[in-house]
Amino acid sequence: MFFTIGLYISLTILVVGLIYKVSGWFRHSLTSADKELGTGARLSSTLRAVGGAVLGVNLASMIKAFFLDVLLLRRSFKEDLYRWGMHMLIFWGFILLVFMHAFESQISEPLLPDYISTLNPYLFLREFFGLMVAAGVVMALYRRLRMPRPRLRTRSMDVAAIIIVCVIILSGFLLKGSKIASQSEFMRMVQDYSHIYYYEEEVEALESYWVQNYGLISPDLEPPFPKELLAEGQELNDLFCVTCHSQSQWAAVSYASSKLTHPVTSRSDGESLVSFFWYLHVLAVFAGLAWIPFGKMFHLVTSPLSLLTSSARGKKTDPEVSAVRRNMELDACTQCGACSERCSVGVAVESIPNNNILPSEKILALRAVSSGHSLSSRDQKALAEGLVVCTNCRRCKDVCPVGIDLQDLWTTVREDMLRNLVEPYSLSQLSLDSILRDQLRTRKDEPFWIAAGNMVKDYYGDAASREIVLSKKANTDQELVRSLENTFRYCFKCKTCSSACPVPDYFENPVDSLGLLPHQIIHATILGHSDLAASSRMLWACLGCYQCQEQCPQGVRVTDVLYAQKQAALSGLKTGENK
Amino acid sequence: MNDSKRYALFRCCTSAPHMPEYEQATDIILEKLGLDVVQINEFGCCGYPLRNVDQASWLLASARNLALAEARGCTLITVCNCCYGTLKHCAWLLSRDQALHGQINRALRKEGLDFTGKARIRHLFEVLEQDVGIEHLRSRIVSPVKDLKLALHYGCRMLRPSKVLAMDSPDNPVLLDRLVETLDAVSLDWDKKSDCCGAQIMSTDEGLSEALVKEKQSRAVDLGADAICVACPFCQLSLGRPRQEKPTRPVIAYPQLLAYCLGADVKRVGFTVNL
Repeated sequence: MFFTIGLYISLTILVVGLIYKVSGWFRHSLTSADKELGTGARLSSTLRAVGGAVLGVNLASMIKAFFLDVLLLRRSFKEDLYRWGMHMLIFWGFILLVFMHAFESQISEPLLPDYISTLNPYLFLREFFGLMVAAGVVMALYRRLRMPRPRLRTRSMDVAAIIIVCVIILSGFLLKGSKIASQSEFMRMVQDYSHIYYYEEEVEALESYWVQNYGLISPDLEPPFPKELLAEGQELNDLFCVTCHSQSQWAAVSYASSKLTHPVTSRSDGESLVSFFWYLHVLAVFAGLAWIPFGKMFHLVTSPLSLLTSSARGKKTDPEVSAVRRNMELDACTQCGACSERCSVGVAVESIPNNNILPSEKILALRAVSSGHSLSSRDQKALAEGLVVCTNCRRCKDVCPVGIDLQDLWTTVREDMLRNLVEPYSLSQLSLDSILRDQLRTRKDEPFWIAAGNMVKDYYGDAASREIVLSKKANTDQELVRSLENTFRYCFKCKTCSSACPVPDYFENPVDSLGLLPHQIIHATILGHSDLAASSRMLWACLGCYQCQEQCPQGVRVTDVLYAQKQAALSGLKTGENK
Repeated sequence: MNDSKRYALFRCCTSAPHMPEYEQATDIILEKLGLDVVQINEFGCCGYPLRNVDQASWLLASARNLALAEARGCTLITVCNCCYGTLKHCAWLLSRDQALHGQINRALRKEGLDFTGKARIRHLFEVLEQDVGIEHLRSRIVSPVKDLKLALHYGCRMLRPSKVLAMDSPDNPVLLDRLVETLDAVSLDWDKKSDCCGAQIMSTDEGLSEALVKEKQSRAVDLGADAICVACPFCQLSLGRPRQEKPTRPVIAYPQLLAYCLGADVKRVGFTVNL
């Protein structure tokens, strides 16, 4: 009764949860363009795309992907053998347990004619599958706690997933262990499978034999037993037991755990302990089942979907289908951290304290955006920064174990976000990919790096007006960048840097056009006026060609100073300082 | 100094998605010349784009790659000037600033890495000249591009700052000339050889970047060059961007040209010059 009600409750939650989550793919919008695409249109386009893929040329590649990528985790195998081994153990251990053990009466009994859960090989196999999961979990714990993975973040979802798997597996072992040790279990079997239940002497003989050989812990009997008693027990065992019960030692871990129950089972028939672990095990399984749509384990559904989708992706995809796919992909991410580990600029989080630089963490922010949570302006800025600090190298996409097109997510959201928001770091080579794609535009229909340039002008603009310069005091104790060794202090204003610089040659009146020339930027640096440097077009026109530094007779690291000034200017824009 | 003849090819983030033929050509060269190359998947960004926004991010990204190469006992080779200059500059800076070196290493140790300064960073062209040897290279050429007139474009971060890079003369470089001569091509004399391509400021001063490219292209046309030959993906991107003004000269990368001359299929190296 309890079991049936519990099962139906958890299945109901599972199904309702699945419907709720999957419907989100058709309701939620990651970008403003996606908002225009209605649920109905998305539904019909997606059905058409799925139908086309299944009926069309993609079927073969999808079947291949199902076996290699879904069942054998090929993408993980290529990338990280440890992670692959860990996941294979948990995945296959669980799958096999589900088929052989959880669906015992639906699958094992009808399909395997000799199937008896207490008889080898099944007794041993169930134990072995459980051990596979346990080994995988130990590997997962070791990876999270001990391995040097600075960009792997552990969140409550990861902890919850590990805990629930642990409880299911451990309670399974302990349930079996307490059954092995329990007298009440033994008596139940005697009653069910022999006709000696009412013959005390025979039962004693068999019980002694089981205490001696099967790990039974009896509150009434204790070894050593007389030989004749054991011999009689063995006879009875051969008669009633061996045909459907292998020795408990084959379930090695459970057998070992049965010893732990000694304090209880040596004083009672152990029934309460068996029922305690049974409830624990069954409740943990129900909880796990009901939790699937809402936590990390949702990837049981989404990972295969994502892998199949990526294997079937055609040349042209409807925007409706892309919108649905992106939402689904956001749900397929488990924050496993493979992308963040390999992200070409991931290490930058050590200096720029923004988790959104890491791809796997960016997904969390995108999920919030997609499900309609309005981000605070601070969170928006952090997300925009995370989207811009990216070299668009596509490594994240290549290494994602579930084949999420991460690069597409970044590009699409960046394009959308930077229409309304200026991100100072876009004023750098980090915008190169967008320039080459010639796609990204702001609302005013200008490239977003131009908007960032205008932001610099607005922010530092006044600095260059001469009256302000004259009224300023030298700010000589400002430490610009330690690694420059203050070489700029050796400048004697010979202007060699400005004549070596190729930039002024392109202007009729360089001083008017560029604001400051390189030697003047050095001078501004000496005086501690970074704002002045920031306001000059020269700083942003610096080619980084090192002609000035090469030619400087005083060994001033001119180009390096200009780089430092650019960094200071951008950091000033971010922090609101340096003005 | 780790003088290993085992090379780790450092792949540029920009060339991989935007100019696959650049990378493919490099792979062909390394394979045809039988160099011992290991693939280090963990390599990340060289730090060049990060340098424009945050000093420590640049150094972290650079030093991480160097530490990876050290851990595998490899000489790191680049085909991109910007990667080359940036990585070498980082090693130079850290070797002169113990405090900074310590700070960077503290972060790297979190992923089990340590930059000691032993890592050797070399441009593919250095390897070709010094390890393979000009004569040997010449002997391996099967399809020379006889009399192909090239306007050579070295690119800044292969040459300057010469104190840091010490690879070739910053004003009158010769390495690429020597390499091009092995292919029987002609290096035309022009004064833009060691000038900047303008890629760096494509986002910060688009107009100026355009003007630079326009001038170079028109000079190359006036010079009678068949093509501009570059040594860096960024130069190729910048100088080769499709533009309104005609005529222009195609921009080929030396690795593409060399791969072709070593006998690779034109299609595989993405060759665009009509020979």
